[in-house]
Amino acid sequence: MAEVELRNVSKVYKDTVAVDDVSLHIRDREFVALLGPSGCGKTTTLRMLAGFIRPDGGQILIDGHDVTDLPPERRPTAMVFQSYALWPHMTVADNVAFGLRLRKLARNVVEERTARMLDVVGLPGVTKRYPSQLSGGQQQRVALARALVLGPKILLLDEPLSNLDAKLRVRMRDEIRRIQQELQITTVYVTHDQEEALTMADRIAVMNKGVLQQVGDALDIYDRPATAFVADFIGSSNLLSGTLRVAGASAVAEVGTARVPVDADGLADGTAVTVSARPEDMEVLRAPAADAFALEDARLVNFGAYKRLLGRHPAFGQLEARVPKSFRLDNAPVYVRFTRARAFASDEAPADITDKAARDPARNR
Amino acid sequence: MAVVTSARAVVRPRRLDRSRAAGVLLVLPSLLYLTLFVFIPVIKAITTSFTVRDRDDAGNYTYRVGLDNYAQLATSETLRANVIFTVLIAVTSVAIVFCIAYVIALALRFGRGPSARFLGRIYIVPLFIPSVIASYAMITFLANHGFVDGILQALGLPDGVFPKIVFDWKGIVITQVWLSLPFMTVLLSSVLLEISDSLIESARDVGASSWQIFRHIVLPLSAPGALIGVTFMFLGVIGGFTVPYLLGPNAPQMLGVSMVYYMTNYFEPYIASTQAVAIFLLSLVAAVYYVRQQFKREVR
Repeated sequence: MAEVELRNVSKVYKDTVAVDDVSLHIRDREFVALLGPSGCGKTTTLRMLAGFIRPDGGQILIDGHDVTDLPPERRPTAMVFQSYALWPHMTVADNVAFGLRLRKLARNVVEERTARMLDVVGLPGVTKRYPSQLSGGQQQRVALARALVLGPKILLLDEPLSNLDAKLRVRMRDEIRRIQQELQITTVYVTHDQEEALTMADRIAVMNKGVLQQVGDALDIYDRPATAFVADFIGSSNLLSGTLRVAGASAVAEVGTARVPVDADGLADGTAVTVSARPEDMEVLRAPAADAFALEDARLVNFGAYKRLLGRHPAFGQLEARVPKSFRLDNAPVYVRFTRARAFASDEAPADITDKAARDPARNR
Repeated sequence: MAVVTSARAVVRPRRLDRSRAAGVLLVLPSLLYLTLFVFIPVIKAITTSFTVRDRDDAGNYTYRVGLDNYAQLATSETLRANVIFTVLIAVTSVAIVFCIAYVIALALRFGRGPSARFLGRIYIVPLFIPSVIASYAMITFLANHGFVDGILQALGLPDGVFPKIVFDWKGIVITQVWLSLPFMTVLLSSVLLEISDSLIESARDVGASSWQIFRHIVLPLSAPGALIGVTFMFLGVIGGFTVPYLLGPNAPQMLGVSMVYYMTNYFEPYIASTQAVAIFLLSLVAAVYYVRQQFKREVR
């Protein structure tokens, strides 16, 4: 049993609120990813869990025990640092064994547990080497072994893969997930990479500007984003701002002169809304139709497995639709129809919502 | 293919020659400097130290090669005492400076708050005061019936109780400590700054106490840099003249002072040179150690 509960946790630096009233329950053996852009408070939250930062408000409970005031050395947590933080003057074995030796365990116990843990992380036979003689991926594994060898209740990982190249990152992703499953350890994983979060975590907690936006599994977060921020941050979305018009069971958003049918989730008529629609929820037509909008300056971007159709519409600005890789423009007009769009009250949308590039490095690759 | 190779064969040596000539030209000034001001004097000192001057019954001097000067250095009560005194002063000063500087550097690295910041500003002051000035300041400050003694006597300390510091080994050590502290602190601070916070946090995370972090992480990680500082300071104290000349006792003397006396007062350039070689050999021990540390660092 090892569950974590954050109760209304806050942290304020001078006059910026790094973490704002975050409450989160992490279940036993669960793998939760804290996902958000840099400066969203995810690392601060993790460091509060580890005990390196004291919250200004709220409580942190591990298995029901209040650990808010305990220093890191007295918490049942183990952390893997972004830069690995291996001690350069110790060999791999000494790095892993350090915590065990501090506990004055018998020598053969230390050796046996060190060897077993290096085995678990897939690094046997490098015990006598120094960290500087290892590759980035190997150092990552040593850091993992060092954290796990003490048998912590909670494993905390702070962007552990950000210093690795793309290929290795994908491999270590699976590897970390495998080890987590094998040891059945409750894990909190901080990342700004949505792909990591979506592929590794049981549940994802999306943060922005210190505020927890949504907690849910990959499908929830992708298909039923709770805020316009989540809709934009996870995957990519066409974002439009307009006014909601509700008529009975159906709702449309007025965007300039255009009207887009939307899911409005109980928002009132006349609300200023941000409309979000995924590129794959845009139907592409070759002839005019009801609710379809003509695209100007249409062009295609090839992503290998699929293509993206980009174009402009006078009312919406830039629009994006996902099309099959066989799709061709052939200089003919194209039209798009919103098959599924969601409206969020505009005050939920952060001011910098159109600043996509900064928040989604994966899309720029 | 053959044409290309032969063309290369013609071009390459010329280029190499030119760059080699440029290299020699670049090295030449420092080589010249070293030869004139280091190699020649060192060789001269060494040859002089092996020169023995004898005086026959008629009062004429004869010269020969021999180890007599070294024998005298080893057997003469005074000279042997000087060598031991020099080493002891150097070791004591370095040990004291190292301990104080390490504590200050730790406070600067890990300390928060106004006192650490204040310390960070003032520790550097002695670096800007020449050793002659500092030595005279110490004399007026610490002499019997000096500034400190005066204050203590005004507070009720009987006359003659204040220990003899000036013209004693204590005076040399205190002044050397005072003068070398900033340099050692700067060096140790930069060494400690190189240790990233995450290395310390990760040690806390696996359960290490402050002492254990110091003992197992901070101390070993700072050791190579710290030992380089120790080497340099050791060299400085071993060959120092101003401080022991102004503050030291008449006997035993540090080698730098004793050498000057033998040279100018006793007209014994042979013994003086022998003492110079002794200083040089002592420095060599430190230098060899320094080079070995550097080499180890590069291997890592």
